Amino acid sequence: MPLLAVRDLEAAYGDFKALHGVSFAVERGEIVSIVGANGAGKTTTLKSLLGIVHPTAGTIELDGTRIEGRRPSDIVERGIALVPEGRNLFREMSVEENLTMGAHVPRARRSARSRVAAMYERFPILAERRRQPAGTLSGGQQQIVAIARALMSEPSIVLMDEPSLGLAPRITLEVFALIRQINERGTAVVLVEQNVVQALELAARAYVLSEGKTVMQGSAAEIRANPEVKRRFLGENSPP
Amino acid sequence: MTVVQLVVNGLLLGGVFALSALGFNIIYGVMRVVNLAHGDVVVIAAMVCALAFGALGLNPLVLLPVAVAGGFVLGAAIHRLLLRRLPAETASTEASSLTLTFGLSFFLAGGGLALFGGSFRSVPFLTGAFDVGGISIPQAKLLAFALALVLAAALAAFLRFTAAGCAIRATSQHLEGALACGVDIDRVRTLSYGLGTAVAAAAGALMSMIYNLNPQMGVQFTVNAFAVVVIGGLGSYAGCVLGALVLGLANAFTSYFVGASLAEAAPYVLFILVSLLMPSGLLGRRTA
Repeated sequence: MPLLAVRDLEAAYGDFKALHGVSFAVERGEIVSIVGANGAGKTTTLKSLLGIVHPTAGTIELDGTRIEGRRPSDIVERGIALVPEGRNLFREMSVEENLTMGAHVPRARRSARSRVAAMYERFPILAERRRQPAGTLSGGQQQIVAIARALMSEPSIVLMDEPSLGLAPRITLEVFALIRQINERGTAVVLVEQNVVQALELAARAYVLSEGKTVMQGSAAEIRANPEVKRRFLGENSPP
Repeated sequence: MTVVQLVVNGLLLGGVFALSALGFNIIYGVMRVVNLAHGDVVVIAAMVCALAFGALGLNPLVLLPVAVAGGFVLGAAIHRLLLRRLPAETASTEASSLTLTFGLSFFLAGGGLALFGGSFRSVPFLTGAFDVGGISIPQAKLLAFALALVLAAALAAFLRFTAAGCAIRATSQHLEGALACGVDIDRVRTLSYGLGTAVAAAAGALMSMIYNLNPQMGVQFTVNAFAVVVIGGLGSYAGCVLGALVLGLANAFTSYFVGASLAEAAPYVLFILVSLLMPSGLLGRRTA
């Protein structure tokens, strides 16, 4: 049984239907990349998984339990965490307060202090900046706070929405190394990333979304070799 | 000496304005609801206190915690029974909450008139004044100011040091960020509306020691709180206190130099000036 199984997911914003049938699965401890053009439904899919957007049809199973339609507080409590696009930090709160908010769910709240200490050990830069308002950090540091905040609830699966967005190439490499490190510790990762080349290098498997539907799936190598993917997302022309 | 006296008067008044506006600010910050019933809660609480003082001789120090508890229960009930039922995630949520609190304002003002009548009431407690080097400090205003400071400090400590308080601040800074952290937004909103109403009721209990009030004066306190929040900067708690002190001083100086009736225009004038010259307020968030 996969850790996360999404079947025929549909979701809408008012009258606008954003997802028409997204299906994918994530095994324990693997990295799965979701690839697609702008507006393909990647972010909506992640928001639906966390309950921020309510699915109108389809199912989401986490560890065999249906979670679609549940509230985000319940879903985070069950072990899914999100690193949102744009980071969504609490800009006027300190780094430490941001991290503590990551352990807000009852399962994690009692041990919030020790979890913060563990994050400082893992990311020493956060210990240095612990009292600084998160909004005053550099883009790369803010991304580390967003990732560390998501890890505070010790999730079994982390959803990452465009983690390299707006970062310098050198910082992007550091963020990708961090994602690999998180995964090596046993946490599954769903990676939505504009930087398709690097995302596919990191992932074991990938799914391609188009107009709110899953249109392609396979190993990362298969997806990377697909002529359509090469043409649309990797900027390569197919051989004549 | 007159100027010092006016500054003292203005600061004492500003302290109580600050408490009232903090309640308004919490509700706006978390829910983006401009609570047009805010001033009516202030006035109703003042009426209840005046009645309890007159009929039962209850000390305002005893009435204050009762006002806080009663205000919290009233606010939480208003959220659970009314505001929570507004359609969520639509563009019209802010507009419909405005209409709802507008209606609630009329309901509370009308209900207050039916229950308490239209006559002016106050709590004549500590009617004397201290004389400090020729400056007169009314005892009731000083007590109200001190209690407002204690309550504002308690509120600040709650928001800073408790998990629920941090969740309120986080939600007001980034709703989706709070959702991603697993914050139960519905609960935070009920708590915030309850807390905001409790603070408004506490401000009413303190106002009853300073002003003669009747149930139809709520709109004046709503405008005051709104002006304070805009002057200080929407969403900024420190700005709220600063804005209230500015408004208190403006009120004291205008009353003395121009006339008491024109002092009521002070919030509107400051509101317009700040909106034109410093749209994000004295300490507001500079981001769009």
